[in-house]
Amino acid sequence: MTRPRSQLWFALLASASCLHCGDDDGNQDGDVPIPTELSFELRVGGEPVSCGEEYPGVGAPAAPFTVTDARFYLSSFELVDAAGRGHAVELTPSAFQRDGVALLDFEDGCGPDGTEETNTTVSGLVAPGEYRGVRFTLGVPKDKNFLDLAQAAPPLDVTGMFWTWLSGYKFLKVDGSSPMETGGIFPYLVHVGAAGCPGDNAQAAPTGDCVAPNQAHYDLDGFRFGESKIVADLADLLATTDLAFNTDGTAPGCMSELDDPECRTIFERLGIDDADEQVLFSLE
Amino acid sequence: MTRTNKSSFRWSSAALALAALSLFACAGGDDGESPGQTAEYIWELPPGFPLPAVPEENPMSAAKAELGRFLFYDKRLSLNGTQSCGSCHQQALAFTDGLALAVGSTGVVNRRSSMSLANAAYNSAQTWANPVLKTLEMQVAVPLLGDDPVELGFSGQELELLDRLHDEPRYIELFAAAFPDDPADPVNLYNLVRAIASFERRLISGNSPYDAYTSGRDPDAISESAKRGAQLFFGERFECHHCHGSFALSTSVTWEGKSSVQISYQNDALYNLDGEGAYPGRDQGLFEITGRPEDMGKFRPPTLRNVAVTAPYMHDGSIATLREVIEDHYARGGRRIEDGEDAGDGALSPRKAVFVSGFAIEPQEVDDLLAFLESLTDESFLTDPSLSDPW
Repeated sequence: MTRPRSQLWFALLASASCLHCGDDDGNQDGDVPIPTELSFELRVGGEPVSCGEEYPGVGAPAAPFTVTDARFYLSSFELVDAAGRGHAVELTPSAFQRDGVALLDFEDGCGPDGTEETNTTVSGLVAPGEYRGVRFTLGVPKDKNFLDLAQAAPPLDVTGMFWTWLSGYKFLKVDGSSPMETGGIFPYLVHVGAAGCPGDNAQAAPTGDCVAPNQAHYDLDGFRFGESKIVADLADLLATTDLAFNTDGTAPGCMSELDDPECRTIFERLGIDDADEQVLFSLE
Repeated sequence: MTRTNKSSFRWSSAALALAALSLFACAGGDDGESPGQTAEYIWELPPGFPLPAVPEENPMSAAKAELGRFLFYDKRLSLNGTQSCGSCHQQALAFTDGLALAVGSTGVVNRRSSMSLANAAYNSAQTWANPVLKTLEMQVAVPLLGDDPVELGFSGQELELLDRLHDEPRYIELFAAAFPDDPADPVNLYNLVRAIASFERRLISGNSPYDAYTSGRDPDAISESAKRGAQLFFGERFECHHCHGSFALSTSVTWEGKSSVQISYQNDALYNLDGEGAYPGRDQGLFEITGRPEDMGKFRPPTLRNVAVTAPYMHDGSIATLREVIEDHYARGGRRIEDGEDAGDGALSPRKAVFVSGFAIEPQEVDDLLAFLESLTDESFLTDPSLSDPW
C-alpha cells in the first residue's frame, strides 16, 4: 500500500467518523489520539465468573466446576478499520497495563495464590477512526516474557502468574476443581505459557527459542467503538475437557508441558495453532 | 474476619496484632523522618533482590537497625532474663533454633517451629499462618507480649521492660542515635518495636553457591548433581517451585513498588485425621484465623534458603530430615501416619494443596534434589559479624 493512498483513507475515515477531534482541523498526520476502553467479561456457561463460585455443567462429561483463579495476559492490542488495517492501542500505564501488555484479572484472592485486586478493562489511546474490529494476542511478547520477576514493572510483577525466568509467564491461568464421587475435590488447573524453552538454569532467560511459544492471536469482527465488550466463556474453553481425569505423571490439568495430553484440546480451543478456530473470545 | 472458639492462642495473636496496630496509632504521627525509603539508608542487596517494602512509619536507618541488633540479642527482653529473640532465632541456624517446637522463656513448649528470619523483610505476611500479621513491626509484639504461649513473657509488664532499658546506659545512647527527632525520652515500646523490625529487615540472604551459579558469577559454584536437582526443583514433574519459587524461594513475598500482594497458604497434606483432611486440634493453621473450612491445615510456605541448616522441618518440626521430607512426604503426595492420635493418610486428604500430588522419584534424583537444597546455604549470612550478637 502506497503512502498517499493510506493517508487518503485515513482522512476519509477521520472526517466521516471523528466526533472526538474537537478543534483539530483535520490535518491527517496531526490527528490527536482518542481514548478507548476495551471492556472484558469472563463467564462460565453464560454467567459472569465469580471467584470461589461453583458452576454446573462444565466440561465433557458435564460436571460442577468451582473457579478459584482466572487471569490472563493480553498484548498487541489493535483496533481494525474498514480497510482491515490495524491501529495500535497505546496502553495507558497502570498497575494492570504497560508497554503493550495488559493483565485481565477476574479473581479476588479466593484461591491460594490470588490477589484482591481485579481488572476487567484495557484502556489507552488510538488514532481516531471508524473501527470494525479488534485484535490482540494471548501472551506476553517474547522480549518481555523472560524476565526476572522481582525486577519487572507492573503488570509483569505478579507472582502467581509467573513460572520461572526460564519458562516465563503464565499467559492464561484458570484454576478450579470439581467434586469427586469419593467425597474429595479434583483440582483442574489450566496454565498456558511457553514450553520447551532451552536452558539448564531456571533463573536465567532461555538460550534460544522455545519449542512451543503458545501464544494465540485473535481478530474479532463486528466491533463498535465505545459499545462492544469482549466476552470469554470458560465453559467454551473447557467444553471438551473431562474435568475428572488427568493423565498420570503429568501436571494436574494442563500446564503447557510439551507432552501433556490434557493441553491438546484446550490449546485447540484457544486457537494457539492459527489453523484452529478459537472459541474463547467473542464480541457483544 | 471470623473466629472460631477453638483455642485462646488465635485470640491472643489476633489481639496482639490489633495491639501492635494501636501502638502505632497512639504513638503515630510524624516523627520527622521521611517515609519508607530514606535516601540515607543504603541497602546492600544481592543481585536480583528487589528493594524491600518498608512501612512509612518506620523508614530504615543504620542507627535504628543497630539499636535493633542490641535489642534482638538482649536477654533482658524476656521477663525472667533467660531468653532474647536470638534464642529462638540463632544466626548459625539461619535464625532458627534447631528444635521441633520452640520453647519459651518459662519453658512452655510452643506448638510451632521457629521460622527462619532470612529475608523476612520480603514476607507478605509473617509467621506460619496469620494473615493479620503483615509487617515485622506487628509481629515483634507477639513473642514479646504474648501470654499463650508465653515466649518472652512481658504481658502486662511493659513498664518493667522499659525500666530495664533505661537502666542500661548503652540504650540511652543507642535510642537517642536511632530516634534523634523524638521528644524527651525515645526509650519507649513503639521505638523498640521499630528498631527490632529494622534489624530484622537487614537479615537478607542471597549469597549462596546457588546464587553464584545462577547469576553466572561462577558456573561451577554448585555440583553437577545440584544443577540437576535445580532442574527437578523448578520443573513441572515435582512442582516444588510453585510454592517455593522467586528469588526468595517462597512465593508469598512482596517488595517495594509491587503492584499486588500475594499471600499464599497451603495445606501440605501432613495430616488427615478423619478422611476429611482434619489437622490435629492443637494446630489447624489458617482455619483458626478465618474459620473457613477450606483453610484447614493451611500454612505459609517458608523460604527454602538455608534450608539445610533449619532442621527439623514443617510447621511443627515433625519431619527430621530433608531426605524424609522428599521421600516420605512429598513423593508420596502426603504423609501417612500409621497409628496414634494423629493417624491418617495425608495423601488422601481432600484439603491438600493441588501441587502436593506425589511423584515417582529415582534414588539419584533424591540425591540431586538434596544437593540443590544444600547449595542454598549462604555461609556469609550465617557468619556475618554485623548480624551477630553485639553484647
